[in-house]
Amino acid sequence: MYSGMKRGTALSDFLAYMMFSLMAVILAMRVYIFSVEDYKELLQFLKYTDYAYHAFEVLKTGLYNNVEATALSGNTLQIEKSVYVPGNKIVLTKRDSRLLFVFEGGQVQEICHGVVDVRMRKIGDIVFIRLYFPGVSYERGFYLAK
Amino acid sequence: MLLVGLTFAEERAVLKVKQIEMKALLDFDYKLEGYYLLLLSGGLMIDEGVSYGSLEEYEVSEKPQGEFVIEFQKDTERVEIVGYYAGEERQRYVFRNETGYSAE
Repeated sequence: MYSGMKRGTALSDFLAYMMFSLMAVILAMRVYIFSVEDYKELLQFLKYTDYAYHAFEVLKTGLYNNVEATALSGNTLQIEKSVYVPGNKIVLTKRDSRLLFVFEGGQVQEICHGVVDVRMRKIGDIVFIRLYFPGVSYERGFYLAK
Repeated sequence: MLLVGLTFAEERAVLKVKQIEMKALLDFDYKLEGYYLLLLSGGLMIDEGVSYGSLEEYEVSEKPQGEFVIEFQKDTERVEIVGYYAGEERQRYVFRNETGYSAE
């Protein structure tokens, strides 16, 4: 009788212990999975922020040098540079998921990839270009007066 | 175990806040530059004296209530565009009125 009682207590203790540790492990896994997902999301955000920043800097050098005339039609920007610039007729456009400078003759310069959508709008002489990436979007203005 | 969970949660919260702040600051910088270019090119008209810019669209509005404030100061000589974040000056653009000359 006495020994049977003791064995029963030990067994229930053990079961309780097992249940608690299982719950703890599940909880820990849950937290871990959440943090990994957050971490991935953060990495993606940083990546696309970096893409956008870099794309705008490239656009700046492209749009602020030797530009003679520009024309915006929809979400495509036509740029005409001075005649002494090789490849002076350029189209800024989105193709698939890439934002490109397309030169006369078909050569392309990739400005960034991974874009979902590109929107361009004009207020006065300023062209505002908004780049949409998964989960994040940025807009910057460029002064195109000529 | 609880401590580990809390640490994780805290870490996540901090990262989230930093991420939101980073995005907001970059957006704000681009916005401020946009206002500067608009005013420089004459695409946006402001009255003399102090006025404020909207954070959503490119237009003059009431003083923004949040942490981000875009302030225009215009007098006969020059136009200043100042961006404030959390009560501190973040960036300032200055150009001479009417001539289109830009400093900074």
